[in-house]
Amino acid sequence: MRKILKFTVLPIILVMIFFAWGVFVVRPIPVVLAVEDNVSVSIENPLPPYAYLSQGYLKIDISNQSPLYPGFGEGLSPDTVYVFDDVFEIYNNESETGAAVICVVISSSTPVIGLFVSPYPGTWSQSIDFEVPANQSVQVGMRFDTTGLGLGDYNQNITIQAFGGSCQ
Amino acid sequence: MKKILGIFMLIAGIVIAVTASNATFAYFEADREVHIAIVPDDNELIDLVPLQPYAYINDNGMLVIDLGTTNENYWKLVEKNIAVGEGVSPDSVYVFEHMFGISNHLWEQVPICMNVTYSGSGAIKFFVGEYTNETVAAHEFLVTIYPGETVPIGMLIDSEGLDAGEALSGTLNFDAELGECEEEE
Repeated sequence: MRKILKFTVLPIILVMIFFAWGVFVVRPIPVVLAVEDNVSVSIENPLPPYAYLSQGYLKIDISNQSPLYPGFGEGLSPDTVYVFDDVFEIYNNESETGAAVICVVISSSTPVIGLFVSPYPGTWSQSIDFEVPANQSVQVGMRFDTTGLGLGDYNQNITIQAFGGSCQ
Repeated sequence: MKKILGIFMLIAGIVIAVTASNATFAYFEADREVHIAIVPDDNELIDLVPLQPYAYINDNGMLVIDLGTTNENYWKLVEKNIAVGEGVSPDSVYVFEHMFGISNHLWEQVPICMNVTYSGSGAIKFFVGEYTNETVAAHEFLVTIYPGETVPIGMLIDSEGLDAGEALSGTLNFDAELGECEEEE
């Protein structure tokens, strides 16, 4: 009987520790990626007005649904190319990442969204990589090419990856 | 006693494992949303607004200048039994002030320098503002547009040497950069 009690108590303790840990880690840091992405660091930082934090996550929004929408300029028109410097930045907070340098790879799955390191060098790419030294940030710009797109909402994702160490 | 020790070791092990994985940054991956609204030319960040019935926004959201019978505004007038012209005649000069406007609705509230270039039939030229004796219509010009401002663009057609029935067509290209235009005069 005692053994059974012990064995039921053990999982309960483990479950409690698990939850206590989750509460402890998740609560104090609003911008946390601990749950989905299994890392508790945040390296992304929106640079308004075309980007903002949506529930703690970077979101780029050029539409009248953005909380930063000023009441004019509802979006981009078809068959147009727009280039925006400094849409968001990647910050290497050494106390969080523990890395003297991180290698960041940002990619988009469509030629509609091009990426570059600000200021605009005249060229862009669907996938860029760069290094961010400790406690420094790198500003990322975006190029939108709406050629061939119809009127309406256009949703896409960009993928941000970061590794400890230099890019090689 | 040994069993209890074992359990504690296990717990300690889990705690250390969790702590260790949190402290050392190895890899980060996240997908982030990009949302763009594709809107007609007259609602976008840098708007092209029709200011006369000769100009309109088509179904694809693009500004069209049309002085012929394919212009839907032409048929709207016809439906109202209003006699309207079907085009321009040969060997004449037409000046249309305020054909369309370019406005700056960028969210950052910054001035832009717009470079407008036209390519196509040579008989068509464009100019900024009112048409005066000093106005020089051109195929290419620069104009500074301040936040919230709308700059009216006029159009000049010189049909000299053209035959009736001939169609004129061309494309306007708009290219804007951050900041005021540098004076070139």
